[in-house]
Amino acid sequence: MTPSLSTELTSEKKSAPILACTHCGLPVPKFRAAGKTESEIVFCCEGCRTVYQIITGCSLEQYYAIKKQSAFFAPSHPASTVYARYGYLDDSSVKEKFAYGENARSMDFYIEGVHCVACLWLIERVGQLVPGIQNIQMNLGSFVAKVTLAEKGTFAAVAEGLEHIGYKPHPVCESRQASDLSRAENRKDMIRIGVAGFCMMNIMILFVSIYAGADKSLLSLFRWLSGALFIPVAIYAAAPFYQGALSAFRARQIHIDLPVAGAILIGSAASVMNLITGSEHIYFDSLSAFVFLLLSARYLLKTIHQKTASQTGPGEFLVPKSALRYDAVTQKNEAVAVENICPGEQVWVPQGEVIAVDGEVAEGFGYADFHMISGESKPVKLFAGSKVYAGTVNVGPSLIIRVTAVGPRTRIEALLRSVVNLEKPKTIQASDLAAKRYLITVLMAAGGLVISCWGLTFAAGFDRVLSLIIIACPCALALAAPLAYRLAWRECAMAGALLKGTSTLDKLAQAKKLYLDKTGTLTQGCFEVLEWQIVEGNESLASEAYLLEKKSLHPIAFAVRDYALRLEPEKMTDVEVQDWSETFGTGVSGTLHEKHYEIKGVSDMDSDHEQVFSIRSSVGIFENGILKVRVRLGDRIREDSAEAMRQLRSQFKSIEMITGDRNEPASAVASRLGISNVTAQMNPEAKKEMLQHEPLSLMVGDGANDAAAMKVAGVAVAVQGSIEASFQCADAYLTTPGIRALPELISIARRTRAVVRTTLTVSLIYNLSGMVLALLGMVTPLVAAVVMPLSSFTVLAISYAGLRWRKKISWK
Amino acid sequence: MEKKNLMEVILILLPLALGIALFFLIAFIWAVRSGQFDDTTTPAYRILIEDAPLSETSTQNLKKPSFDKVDERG
Repeated sequence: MTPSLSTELTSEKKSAPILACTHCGLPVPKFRAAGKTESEIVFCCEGCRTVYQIITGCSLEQYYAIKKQSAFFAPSHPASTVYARYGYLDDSSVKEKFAYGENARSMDFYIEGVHCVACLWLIERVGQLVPGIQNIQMNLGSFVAKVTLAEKGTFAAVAEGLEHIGYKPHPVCESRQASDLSRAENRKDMIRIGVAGFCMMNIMILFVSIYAGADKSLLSLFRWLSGALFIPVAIYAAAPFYQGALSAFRARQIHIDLPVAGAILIGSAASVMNLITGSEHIYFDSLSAFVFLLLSARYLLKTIHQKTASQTGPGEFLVPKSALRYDAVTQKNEAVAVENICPGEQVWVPQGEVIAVDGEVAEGFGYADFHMISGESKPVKLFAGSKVYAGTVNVGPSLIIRVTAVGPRTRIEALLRSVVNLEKPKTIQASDLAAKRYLITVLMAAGGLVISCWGLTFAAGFDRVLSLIIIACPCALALAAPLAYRLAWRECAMAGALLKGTSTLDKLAQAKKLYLDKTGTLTQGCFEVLEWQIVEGNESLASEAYLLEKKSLHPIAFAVRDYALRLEPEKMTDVEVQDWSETFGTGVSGTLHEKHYEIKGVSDMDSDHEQVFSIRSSVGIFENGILKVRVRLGDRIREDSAEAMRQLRSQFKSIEMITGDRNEPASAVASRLGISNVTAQMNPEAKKEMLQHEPLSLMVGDGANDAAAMKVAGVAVAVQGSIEASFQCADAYLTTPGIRALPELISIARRTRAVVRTTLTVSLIYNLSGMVLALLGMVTPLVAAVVMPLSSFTVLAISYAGLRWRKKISWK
Repeated sequence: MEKKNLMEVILILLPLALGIALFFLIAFIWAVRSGQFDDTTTPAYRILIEDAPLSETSTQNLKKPSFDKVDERG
């Protein structure tokens, strides 16, 4: 009896080098790299090969040259081969909503898959691929591209072109008014800074002469000139502070603008008076420097908030925006926007597409992936009358679905609505609170100073008060936390994690208990060949299997075909199979080279294999009635899950896996990854119950399945390749598949917490000691105005050193 | 006497210096208004891209690629 051998890799193939895909740069599987050298062109998948052909076909090969030289700011991934339909983009109702500009020729798209400068280059040259584009401009900060069409252009062609070269575009419908307003406001702020800077510089130059000892007539000239230059600062540049102070006054609230406006107004008044009387105590230089620096710091803070708050993430793109309406009479399909479909109509869903509506199968039979709703990785059989839901994927042959619900009435939307209403309470930044308390202290100190300085001359006393207010300005205090968060946000993006808001980092740092979902998070989430076991003889029968499964549209057929193709690519022939037949639900059979082959399900009783993955099915390949090969299929554990778990174990004391799947596969996966606590067969409500009372929990998962649980968890992370519904309820999402980026994310979050604590302490020390010195009269207003930004710079330096130059987690 | 000369020079220098500075301020305001500062991240990356050498780019023969999927699933 020939012992069974697993033929995943023959010894020849094991010696193949690890090559990088020419297009996406990710490692090429060994069976594809066999026999190729480093200089040859090789791809990790057909998607990348396709994109490469398109790019070189349009003489855009420079893309690869640029790519070699540029750093990646988001991880790379292979190109997909499933294309969405974009016909609906040129629908007039859709254009009304999304298009803008002259003749409604411009539209914004959020582009998925941009990861380096070369992508920017390529996207802006899509015009060489698709006619009818007047201009494409990409913004790398927000990943939004503005597309302006030429005379005969269509948005659909542009979107298709983008997708063909490997980037998925999503139309963006941000409220146009809001973004226009904020842009106008930013511009005004910049102009104010410019004016303040201009005045400050010129005033300071004049003051140099004054300090250096100019004589009577020149002195007088310089003083009056600096006074004149100060007017724009006092009236125009400082206006925001007056407005802030006024509204704070009306609302009876303590606000940082109060002392600032007070200092500026009182200082200006005193300076003008002294200018007229000829006294030497004029403060135009200090005050204009003060206004300029404060305005700049404030602007910096604003851009930080804007960047982290508004992220046009893929969260909106849960359900496709278009579907193919099927007319039974004419037997034709028409791409329409989902809003325009009514219950009772029919839609045609080709294989591989996400279903856009709730409905029943009218015609056809097949399989759908209900992963999104149920969390199960095994496809569900569909017959006439079977119910399907928006967001599920048709993995079998094309279906005609009779629509029962569209848009807000679909099950997935209802689920999301219940999830979106659970608002998480806003966390007040600790530094904000500290700043408020600190401010009250300052005001009291100023008051105390005025009283104690009664003995001194008014001018000297005034000097001290002004210095006090300037140096005590809690700029660094207010800047410390946002700055650290901004840097951390960027570090997270580079590590492969996108955060929803600044409080996310705090929550991640606090989390003590880790809860992991199984399907899609720790495993691939889809059907795949796990093992190809030769039972008899020594032929793998790969080409026979490929030919037999070629015509079948069963998900198992795809998995088998894919694997067979990779297993022995050289042996693939295009021979016609005789007597081919498929028995739905059982298998396929046919005759090849005079031998009768069957591929059908077998029970798996082989227990001498210890490697039990999440086994779900076994099929056997029979030659003339004898079982020759056994193929095990299932949901494979991701390659990086084991290593990530190892690192997470050092970061978390309490780790638990909760899944909607059955006990068997759950504990199989858990034991392989070293997770001791497993709870299986948890439906969404049960998961939510479990996490309701755990404020320090970190939930990692995907699928609308996990949405409710994610909302009540302390903090939630959604995994890529998963349902984008999670993005609406999770605080962070990982852009690389699996949990690979999670340990790094946790490390960054904890480091950020440490940095914020340090910088807050440092700025507090700075401000408090500065205050004391000013009280004692050892600091002049000008020195105060210069020292104050020094504290900001110190904070900046600490944040950079702490976050950018930290020791990153090494990956084996 | 020297001081008198200095004084006159100053009367020219000061307005001149202020005028030049003012010119730049106006240029800055104009730049902000025409939207040059709206996106500050992308231009930093754009300048790193080198143009292709002249001899290699051909603008005449750009083939339109066919979008047939390379699909082994028949």
